Formats: sequence, C-alpha cells, structure tokens
Amino acid sequence: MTELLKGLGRRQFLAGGMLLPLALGSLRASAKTAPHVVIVGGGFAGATAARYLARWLPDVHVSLVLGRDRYWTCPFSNLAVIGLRSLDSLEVRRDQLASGNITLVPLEARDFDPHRRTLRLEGGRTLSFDRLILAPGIEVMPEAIDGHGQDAVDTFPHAWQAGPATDHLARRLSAVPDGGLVIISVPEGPYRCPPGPYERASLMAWWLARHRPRAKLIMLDANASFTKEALFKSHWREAHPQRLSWFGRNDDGQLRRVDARRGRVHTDFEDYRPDLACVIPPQRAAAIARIADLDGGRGWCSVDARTFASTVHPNVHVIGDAAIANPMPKSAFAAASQARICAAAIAAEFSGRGPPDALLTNTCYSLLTPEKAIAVTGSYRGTRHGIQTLPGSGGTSPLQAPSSLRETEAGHARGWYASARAEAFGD
Amino acid sequence: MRRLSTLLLLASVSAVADAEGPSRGEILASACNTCHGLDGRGSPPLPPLRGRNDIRQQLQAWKIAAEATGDTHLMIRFARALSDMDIDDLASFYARQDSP
Repeated sequence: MTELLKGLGRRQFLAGGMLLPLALGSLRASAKTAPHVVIVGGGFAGATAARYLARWLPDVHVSLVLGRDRYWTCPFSNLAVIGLRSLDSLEVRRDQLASGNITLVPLEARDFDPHRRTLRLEGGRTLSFDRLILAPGIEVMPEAIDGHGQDAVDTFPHAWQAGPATDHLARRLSAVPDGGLVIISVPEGPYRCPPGPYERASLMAWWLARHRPRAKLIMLDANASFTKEALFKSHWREAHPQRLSWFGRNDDGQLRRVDARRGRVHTDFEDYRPDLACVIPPQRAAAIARIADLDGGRGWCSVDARTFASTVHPNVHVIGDAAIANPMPKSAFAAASQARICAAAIAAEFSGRGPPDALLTNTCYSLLTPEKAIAVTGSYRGTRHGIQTLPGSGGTSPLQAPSSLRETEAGHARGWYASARAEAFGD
Repeated sequence: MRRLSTLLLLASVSAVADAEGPSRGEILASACNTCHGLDGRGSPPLPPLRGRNDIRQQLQAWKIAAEATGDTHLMIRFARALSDMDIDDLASFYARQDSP
C-alpha cells in the first residue's frame, strides 16, 4: 500500500458537517487519478483556494481542514464594535463549501511532515498530501507586551480575530462614560489589516460623537506613519478636532507597559488611565505555519511569489496573512488574490502546464463613518524576484473629494464584502 | 515505497495532463470576481461583467481617464496596471460568457 493510501485509510472525512468513514474502494479509485491537496484554514484564503482548485483542476481532491472554531469575518467587524452590525451577520457558515471534490475536516491541524507529506490532526489522525496549502492566519502575542498576557485580553480587548471578542469590545465601548477616555494602541507592523486600527478609531470617534460627546480617543502607535495617513488625518481634523489624537512612535506613541490589575497603559513619558484600552498585540503567523522552519524563525513565511510555494519546502504553499507578500498588505482581499494564483499554479503543475501569469490585486476599503469610505488599491505581479507593484498602478482615494465620492466608495466596500464572501464561501 | 509513491504521483499527473485548464483571460478575470461577484455576476452596486461586449472599450476609457482627470475612480487605478493584452484577454473572456 502506498504512503498516500495508508494516510487515506486511517483518516475519516467529514462532508457537509457529517462524519463519514470513507470506503477504501473509492479511495483506491480516486488516488490513482486525483492529486490530493490539503488546505489548513478556512478563512478567505483557504476557502477561496479550495473553490478555485476544484474549478480549475476538476480531478483534484481537496481536504479543507477548518478546525473546530466557528468563523466570523474580520472585514466589517469594526461596524459590529459600534453596534451597527450584529455578530451573527459576520458569521460564515461553511457547510456549503463541501462538494464532490471538497471534503470538510472540522478538526485542528497539529503539525506536518514536509518530507513524508503528511499532516497530523488532533487525535493522531494523519492526512497524506501531494500539496499542502497553509492558510492559517495569525497568532496574536499579548505576552510580547510588558505586563500583558492572554489572561488580560478581556481587560485590554483587541478583537483582532472577529467573534465573541468583537461583542465584548462593543460592550466595553458602550460602558465608557461621557467624558471618558478610550485608547487604541497599534503594534509595529507587519500585522493583519494595516488600516484596521485607523478605521476602528474613525468609527469609534463617530460613535463617541453621538453618544459620549465629551469623551476622548487617543491612538498610541508603534509606527511612525501609516497607510492612507493623509486621508485619515484630514478626516479626523475635520470631524473630530477635539476628540481624536494620534501619537506615533516619534511622539511618545509606543506602548511600553500595561498594568492589567489597574487597567492602565504606559508609554515612555505618559501614564494613561483609560476607561477602555483596546490594545492590539504584535502578531505572527499561526503556529502551524511556523513548523519545520517554514518561517525561518522570522514569524512569517517566505514564498515564491509566482506560486506561493514555500521557499523552504516547495510542497507546502503559504497564502494569506501568514505569508510574506510585501508589498501586498495582510488583507482579506490580498489573501483571496493569492489563493487564486496559488490554485492556478497547482492546477497548472498537475496538468502539465507552465505557471500562470500571476496578476495580484488588492483593495483595502476603510470606513470613516458608517456611510463614507476611502480606499487604497494595488496591482502586482508575482515574479521570480518577488511581488512587484505594476508601474502606474495603485494609489489611494483623492485627498480632496466631494462627500459623494466617499459615499460611493462606502457602497463599493459593501459590494466588495458581499462579493468576496460569496466568492470564498458561497455564503 | 517512495518510488511507488512517485510513480503514483506521475500517473496522477499524466491522467489529467490533457485537461485544457483555465485560459489566461479566465485567470485574469478571477481577480475581478472579488468585487464583481463570482463569475462576474455583479454585486450591487458593483456591476456584472459577464456577457458584456464593452469591457475593452470601458477599460481603455479608464486608462484614458487616468491621463485626463487623475485617479478619482478606483477602477482607473486598476486599469492603469493592465496591458493591452490583459485588456484583450479579459474582454474576450467576458464576451464569451452568458449574461447573468
């Protein structure tokens, strides 16, 4: 029995949420003709890769390892923080991803062996693969902040992975008294969703203006500059001149220490006593993407930009937030773009064709208010020398623009969200 | 066992080697799906693209608009990145699809 069949014989599949022991006879038949691609992670990157692989390599068998957790989208979760979206509306039900050649595996992935080409699941089961795609997203590291740790996350909620934590942050915001102080601290990059902290600040300030007009919001930023900075700052000057202050790393903006017992946060020269401190922790690739030296000890995974194959283990591809894909940001849009190129590259390889033309795109929309948005776009090409921005492409919304353009772009943001969800999850 | 496994893998590759696979235009067009709906079916207010015969004209117009009026519209910033071959492949792909 081959290595592949041994792995298949041991595992159990789950399809459509039902545990189905698969008959060995059908495994033998499929194994002779069909490559087996295992994908870890069922967010925008993993789900999009699964669906395009199934489309572009019809004989493929995809095992999509989702883990046990329910899944809520990070995009649009800042609206839930200010109570304008329900958490339910962000939840994606992934049952419908199961199809003739996509099997859902709602178990946690533990580790993998790139040489034996096996992935070990919780409970000791293994899956053999021809290709492994890792799309596990991020791990947050509150313990990297002096005085902080996982047990203090409720005190300093970040909700940087959407879910019940998003509702917790919303409740904490609604408990801020009028005249109170809210702090958002931003870690040094790279981190998930570069404009996310500034969108959150804009929306929280919008909410405070209506419900706690004497409250203040301070951003403490470990970075000296940020994406769409001129656009955000122009909006803040106009809409929240007395409400919202931003301090960058050169203006004592770097968070140095927190006191979880007292709920206080400290920079080099200031001690703040906020009513709510949203401390966004430093981040790295989720644990499964740091196995077998896949991250080279750097916390993020280096990839071939034409195929998203790991530069360390070519049978393993890494897409989405866990990958080093500069100058693409760590966004859901970029993750889906990388997923399509990765799927096209794997499909091409197993079909005996050359790699695809790796056109990659990104748009990050940011809401300034619930009805007004700005955007940054980029077009890129994956080359042997990395991801290169296409000449003349990209840029941000214009600095001077009528309100109607900001409203149009908020409409585009809603259209993108509905479309990206449908594309990735069929939901 | 490793050799057998390799043979099996080669067999699996050759079994699907004649598959035609997606065209260059289809792979390029998939980049549009994120906003314009799966298979370009549209996602209001973002318009459908499939089945349209004016994609070449529209993308070229965006490129000209970039020179004339700056980049007030997001699509101008995407169109600027496309070569004439990209535009031709996208236009041909969408023109071949049924309207939604």
